Amino acid sequence: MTERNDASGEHPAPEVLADLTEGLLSDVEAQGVRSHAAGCPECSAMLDALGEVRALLAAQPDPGPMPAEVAADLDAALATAAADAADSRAALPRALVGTYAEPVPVELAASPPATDLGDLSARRRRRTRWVRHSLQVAAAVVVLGTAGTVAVTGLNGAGLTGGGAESADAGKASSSGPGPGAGAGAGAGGDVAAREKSTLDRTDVRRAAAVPLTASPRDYDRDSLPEAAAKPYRGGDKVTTSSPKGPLRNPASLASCLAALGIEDAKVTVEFATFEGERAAIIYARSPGVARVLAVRPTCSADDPGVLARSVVPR
Amino acid sequence: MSDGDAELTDAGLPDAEPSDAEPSDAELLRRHGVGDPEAFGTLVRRHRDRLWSVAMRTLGDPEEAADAVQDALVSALRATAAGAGDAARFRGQAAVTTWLHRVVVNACLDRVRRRKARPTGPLPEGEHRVPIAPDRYGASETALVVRNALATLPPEQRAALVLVDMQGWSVDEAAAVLGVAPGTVKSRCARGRAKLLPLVAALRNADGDIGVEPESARAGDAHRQLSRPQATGQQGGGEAK
Repeated sequence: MTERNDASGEHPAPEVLADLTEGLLSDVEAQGVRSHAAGCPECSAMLDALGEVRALLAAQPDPGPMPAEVAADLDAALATAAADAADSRAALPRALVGTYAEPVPVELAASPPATDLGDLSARRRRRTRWVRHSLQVAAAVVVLGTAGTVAVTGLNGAGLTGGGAESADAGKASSSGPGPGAGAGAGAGGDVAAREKSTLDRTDVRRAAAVPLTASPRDYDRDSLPEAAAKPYRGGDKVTTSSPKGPLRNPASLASCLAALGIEDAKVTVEFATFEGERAAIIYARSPGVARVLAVRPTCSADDPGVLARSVVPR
Repeated sequence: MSDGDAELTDAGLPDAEPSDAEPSDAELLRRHGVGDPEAFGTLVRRHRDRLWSVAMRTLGDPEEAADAVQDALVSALRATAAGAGDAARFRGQAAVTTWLHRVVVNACLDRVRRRKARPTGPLPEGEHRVPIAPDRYGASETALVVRNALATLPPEQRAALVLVDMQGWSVDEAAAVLGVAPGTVKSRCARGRAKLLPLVAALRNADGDIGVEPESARAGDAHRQLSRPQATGQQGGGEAK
């Protein structure tokens, strides 16, 4: 790339010739390289060879249709996931739909990257089993900690109703002022459910604590939300402990809110702004293939997510 | 597969808007978004062969390709499922195809990068000739050499070449799949092809036609020898576009 292009001088680098074929050079550069190549058999040959690379790649046989066993496996996984999604929707009261939490795929948990690729398919099978299991117990939250431990909390029984009532109180408490760690749902009823709940929260809270928070003077509405999903606003001010933006600034409250919204396996950022004139938290959740954005009340909690609007766009 | 009806003749899109009998891709995705348990599976069956091709060409390993495709599509299913939010918005048929490819390509690239991060990962630069065992592969030796050469490219360049040169996507389509500007796709393709130049020389060399050292393909004195018309049986003229 650093080589000179004039006909009498050195040959342009292969990269420069490749750029020429893609029209990436400026007019002046392209002119220079072309006039050099016109009188230089070596560079003409190099251009031919670049064309040959293309032809060689194009001539490679198609890997063929997806093998039957791979296709069957895929069908089964999708059917299970679809049934899981549909089932969770049907099994839970309407108001709780958003609180159903899916098993966290191992590679999406806050754990170091996989080191043994040979183990991946085994993990996939295991994960599929979990999905089926959670299907059987109707509404269970399965959370995989970084150490690989699994905590299961009943959602339909005391775990949910008790926890829900708890967090309603906690939500009120923290919305009346920036309560200390009183995070919604963090301190449950002193029984087994509470212990499990706190296990569940530790991971979630740790993750929530890492969520970037910003504040902006922007006002969103139903039309601007999809745009925001596609392109999160980055101009906000960093939120500090001194800026009173409500309980969601507290990682425990935020974790509770995110769980209520079913946001588990996404890259999350929160912007404190307004939605149609009302104070709101704009939650951006980007996961593979999809960007979600939700406008929620600042009091969003497990008990009442307070969703004002949401939008999903492909990415 | 249930891919496209016979009556579809739209030249540009392999999956042009299907007839009344067949719901469109966007319609299937919409149905999935309101809780139809079959819709997403039907959608995937339409596209899975091409998604498989992309994954195989990007990863080069059936086991990994199968995992990447499955993980990507299950995530995509969940993210667009009822309860996950409003149904994702797609501006028509092509957008769904693009999105499915994007999801799978991203999953493949994640795997490539993760593999690269491992200490035993393939060596960077200069390792253009991964050892191969020709007799075990017989006729597909060239394919194997090409696959190994592709594996030495940075993932972004590899993905661009897989989409544009191998799968035949236009630069603009590939840009949409990869989520980058068309100029970036062109640049990645150009750089990737330049890196693969020794491959052409190596294959000619293997044919015994021309005594070109693969390493010297970049040096000026090797240019002349490269000028000989194709010697590998691969057709030239790929520049035509």
